[in-house]
Amino acid sequence: MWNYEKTLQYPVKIKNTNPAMAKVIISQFGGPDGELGASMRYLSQRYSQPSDQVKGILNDIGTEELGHLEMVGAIVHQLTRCLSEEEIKKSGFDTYFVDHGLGVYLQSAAGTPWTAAGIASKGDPIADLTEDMAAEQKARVTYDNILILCDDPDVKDVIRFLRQREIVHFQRFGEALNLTQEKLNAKNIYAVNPSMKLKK
Amino acid sequence: MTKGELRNALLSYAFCVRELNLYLDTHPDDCEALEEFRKCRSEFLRLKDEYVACGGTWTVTDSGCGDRWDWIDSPWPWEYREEE
Repeated sequence: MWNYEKTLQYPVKIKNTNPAMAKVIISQFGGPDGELGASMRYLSQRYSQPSDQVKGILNDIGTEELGHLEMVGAIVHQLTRCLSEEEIKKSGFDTYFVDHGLGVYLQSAAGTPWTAAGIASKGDPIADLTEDMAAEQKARVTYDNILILCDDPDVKDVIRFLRQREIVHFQRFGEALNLTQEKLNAKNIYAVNPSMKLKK
Repeated sequence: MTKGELRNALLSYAFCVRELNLYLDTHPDDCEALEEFRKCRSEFLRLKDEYVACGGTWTVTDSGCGDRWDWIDSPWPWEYREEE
């Protein structure tokens, strides 16, 4: 069950609006490698895990990603909080504005609505944790790309924090994968053993 | 400390607690980390009590101490504000 802390994990204070930048950053809100996908992936994978450490780390990182989703939403909101007609037309934000106004919608930068098609929950600890490590790297790369495209220091500061968290999460998932493989290896020669799931 | 300074300190300790939380999930037998967690938690809880005492809100259960339901009051975390 989730409780809410009335704060962002890291402050978002964006002095200058920039709808063109918002259109790019929104990919970490509702895009294929964004924070919602990350959260839903980890929280979905929890149910079929045999190990407490893995249940714990999926639960807790999945929870933190909701906080990151909120931060990205805050960035998009602050970048578009008050725009002139001319700004909307000149920035290419008009194609988003017509459907969503100044609201924040779950979509990728290219306009694809958020989908679970980009996330996996395979019911297998090895597959799931490997997927999770890949997910954290993909998110990290997306933040790298955002840093290339972005000039605003207020925005870059927050993006760097979020990027750093992806690296820490990658580390934790790597440890969880090692733990899982060690446990499997203790009883079997091979790291991957599908029949482990069927034993009582 | 001012309310703003309290809030910043609280944010820092909330982060420490979270970071240790994640580390302990994959290292549950690390006694040093566990001790560090306890220290951060204790400081976090102390600062939170101080913050709430001077009118700050953290969770729903910290609210409703006055004569109205202040949980809903602005600013909400995603809103831009000039000061602080």
